[in-house]
Order: sequence, then structure tokens, then C-alpha cells
Amino acid sequence: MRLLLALLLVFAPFAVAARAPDEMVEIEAGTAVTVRPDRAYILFRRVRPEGVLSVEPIFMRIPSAAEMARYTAARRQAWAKAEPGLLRHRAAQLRRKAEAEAAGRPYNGEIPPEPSFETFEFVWDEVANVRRVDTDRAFARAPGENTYLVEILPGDFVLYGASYGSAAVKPSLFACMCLGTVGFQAPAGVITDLGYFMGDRADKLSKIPELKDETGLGSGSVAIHAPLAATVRPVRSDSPLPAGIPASSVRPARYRAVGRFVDPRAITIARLAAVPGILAYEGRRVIDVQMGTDAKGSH
Amino acid sequence: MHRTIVIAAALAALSGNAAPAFAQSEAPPDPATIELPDLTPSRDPDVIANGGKHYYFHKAGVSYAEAYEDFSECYRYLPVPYADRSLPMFAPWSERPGVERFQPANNYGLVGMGIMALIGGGIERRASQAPVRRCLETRGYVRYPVAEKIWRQLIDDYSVRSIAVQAKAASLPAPDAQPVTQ
Repeated sequence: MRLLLALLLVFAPFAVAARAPDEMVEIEAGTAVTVRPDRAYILFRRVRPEGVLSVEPIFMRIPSAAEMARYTAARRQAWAKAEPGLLRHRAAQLRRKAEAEAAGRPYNGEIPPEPSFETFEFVWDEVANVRRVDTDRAFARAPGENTYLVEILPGDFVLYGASYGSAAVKPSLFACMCLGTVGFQAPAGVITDLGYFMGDRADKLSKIPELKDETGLGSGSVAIHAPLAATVRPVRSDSPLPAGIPASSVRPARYRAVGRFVDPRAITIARLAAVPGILAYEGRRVIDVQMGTDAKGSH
Repeated sequence: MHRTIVIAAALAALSGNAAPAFAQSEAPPDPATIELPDLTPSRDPDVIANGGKHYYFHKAGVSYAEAYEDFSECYRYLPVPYADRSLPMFAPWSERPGVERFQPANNYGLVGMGIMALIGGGIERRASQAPVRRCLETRGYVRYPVAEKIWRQLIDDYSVRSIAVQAKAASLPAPDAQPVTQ
């Protein structure tokens, strides 16, 4: 039954016209690498032992001040356009409720909350700064450990979530790392080496040691899809670098801990498994180990 | 700016109940005004067997005020009905992202609708329980089984008041029962 429903979900008709340019481009095997001075690059190895689910990382580039200014202006414009209609709709619903109550009838209609700019739902699609890495597009392949090289816009990034890696599943925010994760800078003209990415389903205990504390949640944790777990292992001096990657442009990522945030589009929520020396947890606290403080999150 | 999206009613089920916006700064209501259902541990084997479906949260030593804060924060992760979750997407980071919502379309015919009627409730329950559970368990809460009727009273369709009800239940003395592990 669950499988059938999942299939209905996966193959449901979509007609999406995204306007935003694709700002992450996987560089596939056999492609000559030219490091552009106006682009940044991330490099990581995905650890995937036999039998482990294919999980893809989802990254979020923190929008620039200029992008946020455009976003805010667009949101204000949309609010100005929508406000009269929202007010009219609410007034009409309140009127219907009053009429029903005056006639002694029960009223089961919805009364929307008082519209306000602060609570106005606005979706902006001129920039798409949240994107997964398509793990079918590896730069180098090896048993259990493919390497990925991705051209991105320079900026400050958050490892935002994880997605199922199967090509049969429509890319979605299956899991946000809303309860704690890591971030890093990706400067222009540099290949930032993120080290290793590991992901697995969280309902069963993972065979990946780093995921032990965030998996084994049990069958009750599964809605349609199994919840996902993920983490990173920073690059080591002996980490392999595939042929064709210009070593002189590679710098290790300097991870920082990132605290809680909310994304209402997430199907499930999770936290990145603790990263020694960088990210730790203590009860409700998300700890920036390097700073010895609570990690800063957002909204 | 606007996208036209049509998706099956299946996603509506995944999305679960409406998730109201929860203000973290709201002062908790006086716990003396909060009425709890009977949480006496049940010895009914069916209740214990279904503990993975119907349970309440408890944390040893937590105060009502702390529990209220925890539940308020964790309710923010309740799924939003009919939300477009597809990638890529925009996130402003400094503020909560907006959500594009689908108009549900029952385009799977009678068989599909029948399937949905049979299993939709369970999926909806799990989709709502999963994020709240994940959030609370990372804060040290454990689950204890209750009868479905009691669970419904506690959850109350994730109403704002249910935050106080669950917070009060969570801060009671630990029950003489085995926690849920499934």
C-alpha cells in the first residue's frame, strides 16, 4: 500500500515553470576542469557502502544582500496586489459565519487569520539557492565512494538537507537538517574540499559508524518515505584527489556549526550527525564546538 | 512569479493537518487551567502494542514552562498542507520561507480514492507525528503508550491549546510504564 501511494506521489503530474537559473552544475567524468575566477567549486566524496540507500546532499547558498533586496521588493509588490483580495475574502467568511450563527446554523467554514505583510506567504522563483547535487553525475567513480565536483556561485553555504538519490524520485526537500547542521564558505576561483558526505535511511540502524546516533529510529518514524540521516567527515591529508582536478586550486572546507532553522517545505526533519570538533549536541542545545557556544541558526 | 502546479490528492495526505503558525514568545497558560485526560498507564496489551501509533511525550525533571517552550518550537515543524516541496527552491535564510500550495485534484479515480480513504489517515498521522517526535526526542523526551481516544484528546488536531496540554502531561511525574521504543 505504501509503495503504491509513494508511486502515486512520485508520478503525480507537475507543471513547474521555474525561472531561476541553475546555479549548481555537476562536472561529470571525462570533462576537463577549468577553474573560472567568477565561480566557486565544491568537491566531496560520497561514502556509500553496499546496501546503503543513495542519499544526496542539499545545499543552500545564503542569499546576497542584493538578492534579499530584490526579494523584499518583490514580496512588498505581491503583498500590495494581494492584500485587498485577502481582506475581502476574510470579510466574506466572517459575514457567512455571522449569518449562519444568526440563523442558528453551525458554521464550518474557514476563517483566515487577519492578513498582514509579516505572515503573507510569498514564493519567489527568480533565484533558486537551494539545490541538491545529482549523484548520478559523478566526476570520478569508485566502489562505495564516488567523487563529485560541482560548479557553484561563490558564497556562504549551509548543508541544508538531504534527498533520496534515486532517479525515480522527484527531487524534493525530503529532509531538512533543521535541527542542526554545518556551513562553509566557498570563495571564487577555489575548489572547496568538503571531504566526505554520508547519508542513509534513519529508521534502521546504519552501517555507517558516523550515523549510528541518528539512525535506528524504528518503523514508527516512517510516513511514506523513510526519514534520512546524514553527516560529513572533513577532508584528511590522505584523502584521495581524482586525476583531472587541479590540486593547486583545492582548499579544505572550514566548517562551522549551524543551529536550528525552519523550512515549512520539508517532508521530514533531521539533524546532521555530530561532527567531531565542529558540531555537537547536548539536549536541546546545538553546540559550535570551535567557539564553545550555542550554534547560530536562523528564524 | 507564479507557477501552476497540479498534484494528486496523495500529497495532501502526506501533508497532514493544517499547521498553524506558533508564536514562540506567547506566555504559556496557567497549567492549573489545563485539563488532562486520564494518563494512568494502561495494561491493555492492545494499547501497549499500538504504542508506536498513540503515545504521549514525557521528560523526567522537565518543568511545565520548559516543556511548553519545547512543544512550541517543535510544533513549528508540523507539515504544511499541500506544500510544494520540489527542488530547486529559494530560501531567504534570514526569514521563514514562503510556501507554495497545491490545489488538490482527485484524479486517481474511484480506486485511488478508495485507497486514500483506507490508508490516508495513518499516513496523515505519521506525517504529523514524525517531525514533532524527531524534534522532541533530540531534547530528551520519551514516549509512553496511551489509548487512541486519549491520544486524540492530547493532540486535538495539533491545536494551539494542545501545546499546553502536552506540556503539562510531559512534566508530570514519570509513569509506571515502559516507554515506546518502536
